[in-house]
Amino acid sequence: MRSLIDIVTGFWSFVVGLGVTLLNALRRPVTFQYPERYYVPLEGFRGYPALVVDPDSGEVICTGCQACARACPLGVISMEVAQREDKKRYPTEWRLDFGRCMVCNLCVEACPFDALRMSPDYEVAEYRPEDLLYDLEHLKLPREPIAVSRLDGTTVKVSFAGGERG
Amino acid sequence: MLTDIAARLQALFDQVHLWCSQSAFWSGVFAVGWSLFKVVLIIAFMVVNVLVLVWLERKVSARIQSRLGPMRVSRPHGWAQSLADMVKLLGKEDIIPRSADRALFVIAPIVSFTAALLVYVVVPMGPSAVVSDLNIGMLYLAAVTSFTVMGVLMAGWGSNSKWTLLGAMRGAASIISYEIPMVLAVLGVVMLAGSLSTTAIVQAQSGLWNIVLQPIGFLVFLAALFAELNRVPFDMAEAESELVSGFNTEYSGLRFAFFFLAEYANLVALSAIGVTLYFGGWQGPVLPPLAWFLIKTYAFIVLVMWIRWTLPRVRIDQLLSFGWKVLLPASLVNLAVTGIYLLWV
Repeated sequence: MRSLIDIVTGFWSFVVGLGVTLLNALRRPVTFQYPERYYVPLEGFRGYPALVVDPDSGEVICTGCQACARACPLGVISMEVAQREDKKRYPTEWRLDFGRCMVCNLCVEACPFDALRMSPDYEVAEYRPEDLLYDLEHLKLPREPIAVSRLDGTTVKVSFAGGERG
Repeated sequence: MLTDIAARLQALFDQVHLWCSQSAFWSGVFAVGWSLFKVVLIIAFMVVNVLVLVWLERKVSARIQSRLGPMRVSRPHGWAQSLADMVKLLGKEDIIPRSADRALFVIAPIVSFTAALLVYVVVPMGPSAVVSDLNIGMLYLAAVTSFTVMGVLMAGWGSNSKWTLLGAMRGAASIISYEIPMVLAVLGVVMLAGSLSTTAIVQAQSGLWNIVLQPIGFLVFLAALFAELNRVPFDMAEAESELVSGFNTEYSGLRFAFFFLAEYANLVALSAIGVTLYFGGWQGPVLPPLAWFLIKTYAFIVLVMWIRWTLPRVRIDQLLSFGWKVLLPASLVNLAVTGIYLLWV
């Protein structure tokens, strides 16, 4: 008798399973074809750390305080700092060895001026490792949604991942 | 237009037949040629179906897993994917392991393929569209489907590798245990039709399909089918998460393609047999018999794929106890009930 009940309940669970897979088969696929459709990163997406540009002056907010370079566990951040007439410091050169960067976000957390953010750009593959040494110009990122250039030559507007920090 | 061409072909065929029957030699040539033509026709039917099925399987599995499946090779929906795969397989290096038993290793894929091919002989695709209407059709079928296990065992033993041998042994155990309930389930249908001929079984279902009369028999047949086809949940011979790729681990290139071909050809053949036994074969309104046969067969194949992508693989001991403790008694009960029904009702 017990085994008979087992058979019936087993068959019922089999039917339920078929129902689950059928429902999934009738749904729209959650995946899509990547180069044809661009995946827009969600909030909190971590690309390479980038330097936020002040929209008023057009210059980077970074003061060259080295907090990020000290926070970096791998030591992939280095910079050269100069001083303006009004005693404000600014970086003349900012280097990120993205090939060794592990995208841990520690530099962004260490920044006291909110001058570093993780970029939403993820199409960063290069043919030569030395192309992964990013300089100041490469790392500049405006605060408003940026246009990310695509592999096929088109551009897509992507807003900063992480949004405004309180 | 189409009937006109058919009539002309019929006339041409009759003329050639008449001319050939004048001498013993030429009638012999004609018989051989006609048989060869049938074989080529079956192989063509088989290969085309396999190409469609590999694509279909990937699409069905993709949809069930909420993916898109193959999309790149030609529009729409990557329909040429299996063609590209086939060309790729043909270009692969043909490797025979040094410690393998060369003869067995080489013969095994051919045996597998031939076993799949032989099933098509008795599949009725229309009132007269059957290669050979054997009067012992179902007996022939039960014998021929067991040949698959020969190919699996030869491959497993001949490769001389632990994975292939384990896969082959398990495959043999599962196929042999499931053969018995399958044949017993089919016996119920044979009793209802009063004949072993597949054509007669289809004709016996002109009123009511056997699925209505033999629901338990059908379920047993369906379960045994999965073991016979080496498909998940009963894919003991492959079991890729445990045995690399089971019995065909050491195969590559064309020989592997033959196993692949045999696997899917078996799927078509056994689905066609399932349709013949339980869903009225080629019978149906309006559309021609061949169309009904193909529609039903493909619906059956989609059902098999649906189940395959729903269930996980069972363990070998679960498989065997299910076969002997559930399927065998169920098929015997089905047989007894059918006998009582035929005798007294």
